[in-house]
Amino acid sequence: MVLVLLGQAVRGVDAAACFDDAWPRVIDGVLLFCETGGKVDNAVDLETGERWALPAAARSPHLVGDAVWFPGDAPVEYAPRSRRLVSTPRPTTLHALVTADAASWLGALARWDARPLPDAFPVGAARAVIWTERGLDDDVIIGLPEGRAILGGGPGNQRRPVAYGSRVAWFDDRGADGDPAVVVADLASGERRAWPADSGFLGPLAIDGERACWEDRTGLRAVGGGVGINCSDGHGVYGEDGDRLSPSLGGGWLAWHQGKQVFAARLTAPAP
Amino acid sequence: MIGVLVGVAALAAAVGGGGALLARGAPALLERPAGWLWALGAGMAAHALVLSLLAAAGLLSAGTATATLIVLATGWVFRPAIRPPRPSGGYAALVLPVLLLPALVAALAPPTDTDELYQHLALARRIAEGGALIGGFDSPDGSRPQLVHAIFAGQFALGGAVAARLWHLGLALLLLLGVGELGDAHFGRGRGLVSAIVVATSYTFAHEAGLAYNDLPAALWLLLGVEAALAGLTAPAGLCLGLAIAAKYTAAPAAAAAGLVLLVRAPLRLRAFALAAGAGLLPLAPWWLRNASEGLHPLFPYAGWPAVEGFRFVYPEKYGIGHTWFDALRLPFDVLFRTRIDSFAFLGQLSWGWLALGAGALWTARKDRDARLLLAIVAAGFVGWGASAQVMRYLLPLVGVAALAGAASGWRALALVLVVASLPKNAEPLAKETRDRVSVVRGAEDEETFLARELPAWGALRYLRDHVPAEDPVALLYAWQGYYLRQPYLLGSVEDHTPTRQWLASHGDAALYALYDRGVRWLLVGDLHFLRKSYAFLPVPEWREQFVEPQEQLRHLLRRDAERLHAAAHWEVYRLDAPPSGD
Repeated sequence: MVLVLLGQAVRGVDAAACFDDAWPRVIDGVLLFCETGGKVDNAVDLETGERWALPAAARSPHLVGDAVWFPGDAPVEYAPRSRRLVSTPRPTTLHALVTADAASWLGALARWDARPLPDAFPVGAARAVIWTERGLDDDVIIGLPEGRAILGGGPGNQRRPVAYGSRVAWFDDRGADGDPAVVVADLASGERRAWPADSGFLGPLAIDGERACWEDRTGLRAVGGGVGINCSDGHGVYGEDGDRLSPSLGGGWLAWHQGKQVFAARLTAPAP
Repeated sequence: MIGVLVGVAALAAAVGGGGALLARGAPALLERPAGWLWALGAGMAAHALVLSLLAAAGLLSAGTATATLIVLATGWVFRPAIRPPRPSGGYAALVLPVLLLPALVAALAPPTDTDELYQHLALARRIAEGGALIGGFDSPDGSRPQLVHAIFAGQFALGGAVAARLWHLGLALLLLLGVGELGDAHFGRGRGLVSAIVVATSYTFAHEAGLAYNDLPAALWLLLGVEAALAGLTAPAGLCLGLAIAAKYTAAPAAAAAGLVLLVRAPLRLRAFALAAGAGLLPLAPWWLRNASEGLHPLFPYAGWPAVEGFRFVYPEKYGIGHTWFDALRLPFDVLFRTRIDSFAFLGQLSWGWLALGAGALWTARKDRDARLLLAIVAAGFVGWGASAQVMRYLLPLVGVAALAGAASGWRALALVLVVASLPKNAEPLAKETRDRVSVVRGAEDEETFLARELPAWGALRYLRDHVPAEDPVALLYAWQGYYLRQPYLLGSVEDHTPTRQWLASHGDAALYALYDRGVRWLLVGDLHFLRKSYAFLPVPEWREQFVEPQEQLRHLLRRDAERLHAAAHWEVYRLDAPPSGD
């Protein structure tokens, strides 16, 4: 099922590795990446190629819909597509923070006792927060105003949840048939689907609309291959010239890190 | 509290048992100055011998360790003629335990020291819990002579890490008292105390006194061996020097020099020297034979192992400040005034008082033969250290003899002035370490919080503790914190991380498969960086081949063959699920 996709454009941007391997990310067709020093501090419009410095920098900014929240003494919420600061958080805006003991909302009155993994991050999906909970086996937990519940559980470890709209995706190292898988759940419809995914839990998941993408090491196990990117809709990026890491989806673009560059390609079938 | 009782009881039992043994076999030693120190040395040797035999037979346990202590302690029943210590300076010697108070705090705090977690306490725990010795390429430090670690294991079985550390701290204090008393005996009343103060105010000594290490037991036996050599007592000298080398190989140059002194001072009889040589080999030969029987190099697995071309076990050039002839001549100055605790510039600190002790002893040596001989032994030990890895704590086996030689110095006032002048360099880092530990010792901070703060790998260690079955073997790759693992483990390495690099070099692309084949299902991996400047003496291609490429190779193998289940603060836990590629 290896498809080397190159859509209308592939852009390569010189970039440093980010401290947080969940970055760089594509948000609404804008790639946010780390130029120097490991913090997310720069952006490039994937359509036009225009590049600019962000108004703030952080190791692990938080996604708030199509905006990015930079924590700090003077937190900044920034919409990359419009290049505007969100001046005042609206009541419906979700700011999610992970602390050592709890995942909690700023600007909302929900709090859940939790044991989140250090490498997990909560994202908002339908007024919920999701995270990986440490335990005998790790589970994906969803925090709702009315309380918390196990979203992804069972034998094995469920980890690194990400969300887009009402869809949530995570890795499961013991899927339904005992093999590693990516699971995508639609919180609105209750539907769940799973795809075999040999990722090794090393890189993050990416989700955008109907599509989820992840690092796939099938090529690495083949002689001369490297880590590639596999997607649930059949798209993929592979090659023998190194590893393609940290996939990110947004606005119909797929971005990944390779060597000292970040690449982005428009997918042939843009996500709805 | 149990740890305190066990630590003190073991020392008291050793004195009683050793005294009883000497009273039967060599009563003249008890009559000598600091005869109680001879009793202690003999008792330690007996304690180590019995526990080593028990461990070799797979019978070491809390029960047998207790029985051993009871048997040793019954030596007091025979009322051996042990004179109590006569501290140099009388009541002024109370300053010594005061100077060791930071070491007491260290002894009571949860272990965080690298060498304790990797070797000394890790070995003690594994031997105590398994009841038997370990060793081989998987656990190379277990293939060194284990006399001291057998004692640590016995202490651990009874009272945990605290018992082992407090035994060591008590030994350090007794070594200081012994040095003081012997210094007075050799060179005049009051001479010994200043030497002991210089030792106690040296950061490297004070830092290590409260931890479980093997340098100070080696120092005690070396001191006794030198005393015996000066007195021409062949068998005691041979035995004690052999014990010193068995405790720590770095005592060998000084022990060899002491052997030459013995040749000078003892009556020339072939039988006596054969006895001395035999006595010296007694503590060493069983361990060498054990290694040889297992197909290992007698001294140490990595001293003669299946050749991987171009591979080096150790890089002594990394330590110290330069290795030219000029640097060698300047070494006595450098080791006092150009050291850093936090860099490879000796990784330690000494009191400047050693300058006055050394210079004064040289002055005295013009007319004092004992001073000359002691200084010759110290010089041999120092030269031997200088020719090897110049790590300050590797000098500690020499500290007793050096302090005794320093007691020959008549420049006590100058020594004390220099002690005070160098207090900031020696006391400040010690004070910081104490501040970091005192809360957890007082109970104001829980152990979990302390370890999370002090050990960057604690998150990964806790993951292994909470998620991995106790019977599942773990491999430590570029990691060393074996003491805190509940599980059996392989490899583990520090400094140049030779075991990990050797494994990767030997097994290549099948390195993880080879671990899987050994039953390993979990990996604790450190994301370390070997700095180019630390290996500036190596050509870039060799540095990359030895240090950079193995890590890149491991990263590739982990990405290909393992599942990463935990990652934080440059420490990762991986799981091997299926036979990795390479089968």
